[in-house]
Amino acid sequence: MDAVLDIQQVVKRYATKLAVDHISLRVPPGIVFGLLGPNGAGKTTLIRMITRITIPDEGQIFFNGEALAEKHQRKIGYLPEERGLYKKMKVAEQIAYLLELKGLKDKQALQTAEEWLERLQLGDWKNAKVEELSKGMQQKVQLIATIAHRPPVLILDEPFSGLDPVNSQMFEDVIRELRDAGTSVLFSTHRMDQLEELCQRIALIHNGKLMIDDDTKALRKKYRTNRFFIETEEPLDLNAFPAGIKTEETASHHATLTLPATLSAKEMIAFLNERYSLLKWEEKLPTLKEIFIKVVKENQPEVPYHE
Amino acid sequence: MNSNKLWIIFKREFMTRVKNKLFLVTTLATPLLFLVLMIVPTLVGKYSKTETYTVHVIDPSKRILPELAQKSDETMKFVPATMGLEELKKWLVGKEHDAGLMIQDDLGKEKVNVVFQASQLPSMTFESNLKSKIDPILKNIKLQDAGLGTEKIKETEYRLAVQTIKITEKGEEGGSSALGFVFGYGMAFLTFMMVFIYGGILMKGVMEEKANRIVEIIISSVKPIELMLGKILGIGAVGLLQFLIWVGLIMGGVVLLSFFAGSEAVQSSATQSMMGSSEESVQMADKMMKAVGQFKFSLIFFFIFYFLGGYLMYGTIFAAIGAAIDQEADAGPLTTAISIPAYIPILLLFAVMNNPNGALAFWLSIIPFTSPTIMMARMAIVDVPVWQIILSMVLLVAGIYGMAWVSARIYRIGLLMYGKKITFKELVKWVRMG
Repeated sequence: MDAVLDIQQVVKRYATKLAVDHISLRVPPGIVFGLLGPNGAGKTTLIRMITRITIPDEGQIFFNGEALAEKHQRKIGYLPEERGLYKKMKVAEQIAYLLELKGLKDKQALQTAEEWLERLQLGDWKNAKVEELSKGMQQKVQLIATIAHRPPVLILDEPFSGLDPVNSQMFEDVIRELRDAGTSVLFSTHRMDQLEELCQRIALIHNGKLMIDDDTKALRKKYRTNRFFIETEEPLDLNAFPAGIKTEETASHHATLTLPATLSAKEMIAFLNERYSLLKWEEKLPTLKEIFIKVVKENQPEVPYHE
Repeated sequence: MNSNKLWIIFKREFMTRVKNKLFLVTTLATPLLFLVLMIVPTLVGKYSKTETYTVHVIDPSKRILPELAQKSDETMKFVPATMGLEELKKWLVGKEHDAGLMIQDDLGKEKVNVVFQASQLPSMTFESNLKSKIDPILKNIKLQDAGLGTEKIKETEYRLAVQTIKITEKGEEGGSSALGFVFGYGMAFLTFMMVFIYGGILMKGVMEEKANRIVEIIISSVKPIELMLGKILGIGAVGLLQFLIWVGLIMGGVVLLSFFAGSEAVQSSATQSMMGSSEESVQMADKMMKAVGQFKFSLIFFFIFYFLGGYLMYGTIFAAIGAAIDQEADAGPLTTAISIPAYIPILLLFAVMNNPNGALAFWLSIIPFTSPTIMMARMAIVDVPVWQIILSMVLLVAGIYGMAWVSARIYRIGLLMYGKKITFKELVKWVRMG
């Protein structure tokens, strides 16, 4: 597997805490990679090492097979969690300035900025000062400044925090569009809802350690809990079910069952087919949120780090 | 260090400030204020003709009036009084341009009383003018009464001319110690002020970037040291540009002023009140011109060096403080601590200027924290030995390197540190950590 980003055994220590504890990750090209974890898990620290804002104490990061260096900074678009703009600067000039720092020539930078402003319906605002813009508009400007130089890698730290639903959808659309054009997107979040459909691959970080790093679909299969949704033509008689089955959300004609380890799905289907006309049999895979909570809980209590 | 990125940052820092209306206003207003302060007294002296008196002289001895009448000019015209003292007093009430002058009867006494009467009291300048007109006449009369003939009296006339001459390797140069003093003070204060004004602007700029949270986006593209240097140099260039505009405007203004009001007016404001004869004031003005001419070129070069040096020395620290704090209110204790070494030379300036080649002056002009101000002051008064200038400059450059090294560490850590009140101890820890 070719990896755009290859993170190997990276460690970052702060005075009293091991913020990132030997994390290794590979981000393949052209996918959306979700970095999950509760607040304070070490996501931002990891991201800052990829953007070369801080330097790892141990381990190495490779960009397209080369050791991460200054020249790669222009190939990365970065939207930090806490983000702002120069309030007194004109919108187009501001974007152009940030693009110039990413290596665009001044005229090209301004032209690119104006094209994107036009595209996101901010064309009329290009000469306005940033402080005159609404918060939603400023978020669009920040997004443009992050992606307009067409970096092959995008790193978004909590991109959806503070967005209104309209901008949230717009950000999502842009992420998908860039992914389809071959960009690798790595984004962090502590919220799981958008992730399931957006990310092909997910890593879970907790207390600075990598807990999970897997394909989204495979991950859900891996954490399957033998839960099934059934629907029958005849009314269900739950009392006649084999022992050890847990039931939830029961109604006269449908229910969600959790099978004990002693009972296979095949055996259960046979059991139901003998007694009912089975209209629906569907495996209920755990949501990422459920997996997330399960993994985090399993790793409690937190073991404090001592140097 | 990526010079292209440094340039982009420099350009933005420079352009956004130069394009700001405030820059235009302060750049133009300051020398304008300076010129106004210079022009107004000159013009007032030149064009205020309200003080014109016809002076009605009562001179019982009849020995003073004839000579005094010859000394009439545009401000005072001497005529014999046509009425007695009491009558004259009554007549003068309400008269704006008439006055009475009563000279006492007996000129032989040791004290000679002269009474000037008018319904509008004249200025001090007018009074001393009047005195300087009567004084030589009276002296002549006294000499005559003592038995000296006209020839002999002529022989007693003399003129005193005090000249101060600076001995240099090139020979003698005209100059004025008083002017050097003024110049030294001016240069020292200007250097001090520019360093602190622009240091403050720099600190605010760094702090705003941090408070705006744009800094994390920028340092994902450039190294913190590049951002810091770009800002320091960009803002320093704004200060330099402002200074050069000022020099240009003031020089242009002085030329324009002397053309407009005539060289006489320029001299008069400075010298007329102290000097009686116009010949001496011409000499004085000549001296001034010589002194100004001698200061101009080399000092401007050194001012630029020491202004930039002082600015860089303190600017890097200001940038570091700006990065370490979250809000302006937290800056106080830290900037005060940093400013103490900068205030020392201002406090000791008088002592240094009184003994510009003494040990205190020497050390303060060598140590990088104080040298920008003190060396400027010394250079304005005396010829500082070349080796001292070179030593001072080399040490200043070395000091800047050292401060930049320390500040870069604080800056890098401070930029992403929020919500922590920073103490001096903390900063020292950061320097060790970096």
